[in-house]
Amino acid sequence: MKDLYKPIEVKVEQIKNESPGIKSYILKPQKPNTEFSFETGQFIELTLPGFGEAPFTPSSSPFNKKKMEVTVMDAGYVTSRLHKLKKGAKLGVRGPYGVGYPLKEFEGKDIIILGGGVGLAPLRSLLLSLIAEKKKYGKIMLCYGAKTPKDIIYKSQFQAWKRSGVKILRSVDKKDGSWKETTGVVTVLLDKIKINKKNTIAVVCGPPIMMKFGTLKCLKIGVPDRSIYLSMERNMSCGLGKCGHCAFGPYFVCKDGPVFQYSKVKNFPDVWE
Amino acid sequence: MSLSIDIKDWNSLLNKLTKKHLVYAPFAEQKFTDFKLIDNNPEEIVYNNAKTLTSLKHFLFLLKEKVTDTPSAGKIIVIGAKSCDLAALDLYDSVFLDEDYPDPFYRARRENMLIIGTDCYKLDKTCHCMTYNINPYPEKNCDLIANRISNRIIISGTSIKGEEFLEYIKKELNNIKEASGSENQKMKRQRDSISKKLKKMIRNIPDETKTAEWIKYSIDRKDNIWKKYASTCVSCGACVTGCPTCHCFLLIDLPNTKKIEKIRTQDACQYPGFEEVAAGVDPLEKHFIRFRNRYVCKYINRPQKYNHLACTGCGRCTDTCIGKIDKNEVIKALKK
Ligand code: SF4
Ligand code: SF4
Ligand code: FES
Repeated sequence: MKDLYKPIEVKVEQIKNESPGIKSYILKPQKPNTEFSFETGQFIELTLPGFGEAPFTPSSSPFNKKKMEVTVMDAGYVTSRLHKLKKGAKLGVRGPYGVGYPLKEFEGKDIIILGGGVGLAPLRSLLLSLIAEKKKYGKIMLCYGAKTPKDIIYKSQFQAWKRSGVKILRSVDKKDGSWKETTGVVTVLLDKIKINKKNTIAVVCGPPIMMKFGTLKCLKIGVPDRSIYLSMERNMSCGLGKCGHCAFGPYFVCKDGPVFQYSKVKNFPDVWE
Repeated sequence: MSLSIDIKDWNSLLNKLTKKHLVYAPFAEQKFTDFKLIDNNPEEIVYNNAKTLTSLKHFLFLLKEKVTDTPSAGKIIVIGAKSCDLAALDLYDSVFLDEDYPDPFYRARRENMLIIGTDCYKLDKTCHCMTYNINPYPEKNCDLIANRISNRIIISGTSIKGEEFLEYIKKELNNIKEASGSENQKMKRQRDSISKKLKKMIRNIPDETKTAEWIKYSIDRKDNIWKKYASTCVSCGACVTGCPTCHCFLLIDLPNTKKIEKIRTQDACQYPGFEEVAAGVDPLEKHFIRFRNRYVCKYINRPQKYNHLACTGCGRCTDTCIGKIDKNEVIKALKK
């Protein structure tokens, strides 16, 4: 029988500083010939032995099965401890859990990816999946916002994405001397793009307030509610749809999500919490 | 077929069984009964009172369980399960024996448990199973039904495991009879009269459809009512602990850095921080919303997800509440 609660052992192969307070960890299974397998948008539970467990959506491409990357913001009990880790540390991984982005539905459509802060992590995995099979999709537009230019994560990778044909728009709430792109909340970027209302998908991930205004803005520019996909964040423990921590209306974010079509959840009173 | 067994023979059988298995039954504690191990005292078992203090779930879902070990469970026999607790197993099975992630720990306990249900011949003030179409006598999820009629135990099998147990009884005891017509009559009369009494008791309690409707309507419209009732709630979670359907839990990593070991421990949405995420956002942060969550979950969200109501009308939440909050009084106050 499948081990529901017992993680597989992984080793931290590399740690990258993304921004003040955000680091990425490249993980490799300890046991030789073990592969990671997940669909983009699904998440894993990462155990810090003897300490605790927290959910992360891998930020790497699902096509890379040898290694997995997770991006972690120092925000709580487990994550602050994770930030103190050194290369070579051993961790545990359970999963993958939940349903990811329905890529089949995205085929033939233009795709807006709207991300804020560390919310770019799952979107990066999505982006890499889309780029890997670019012919299947229409235009890919990444709109990304961060607090300041320093807070932008994956700084070195935007160029490569651009070269792969992704349209990239970025904004910061507060600029510094060198910033030449947009200043303002991330939603202003949506004013700069033209969309084909009937054929556009929007994928939103970021802090709750950004998700709210991002979604409302998508609706405003004409993306239908069923074409908007949200990556929800909730407290999680089991990842199996049993422990109740991630309850979201009748759904469990861990099992029925973490990706939800906006039309399915828009009436829940706690959608933006 | 029901067997009729002299209570003395039955008790000697129970004593024998306790040598091999853990056998639990309801015993009297001051004002209530609760499941305890039979320990050379089967003559003190209270068969046909209403529910025990703690529910059946505690046999299947331990307060703490190490879930990184290999599941194992010894055979246990539980006598005296009440209909409200048995009904709750529908929800438990939906959650823990679902297709995608059947839980091996729950399964091991469930499969190794022989459940003997008993009718309720007495009622508690808070009993209201019939509000939700659950009768005050076992109709499902048990292996046998046993009732005490005068000095005899009338027992019948309701599952394959139960029938096997009956065969075992027949081998062990010489003096067994088939239950007589008058014994069966007596049991039937008990059922009828208790049902009649209970129906009268619960006539003012809204059913699950009305309840769900009123709760839905109340959200954002009747915050004042929720706030009023929540005002004496101290978030102790006793309502959740006692509830036969509540099953939320938390995984905790043992402070062992060499080997990953996780404990599953019961948790409650009524505890502050239950839904809080790392960055501090908590949908249940406001006390009255957290208080309301138990109602929304039981009558709206779980039924929508699993097709089972998450309240079986046992009344324990009302019994145990130190803030003296009566669940049904809250529901009545929400009337549209
Ligand atoms: S709620 Fe019903 S089944 Fe439960 S103890 Fe009371 S009468 Fe018996
Ligand atoms: S909510 Fe209260 S009455 Fe309903 S099953 Fe739980 S403890 Fe019993
Ligand atoms: S994390 Fe346990 S139910 Fe979703």
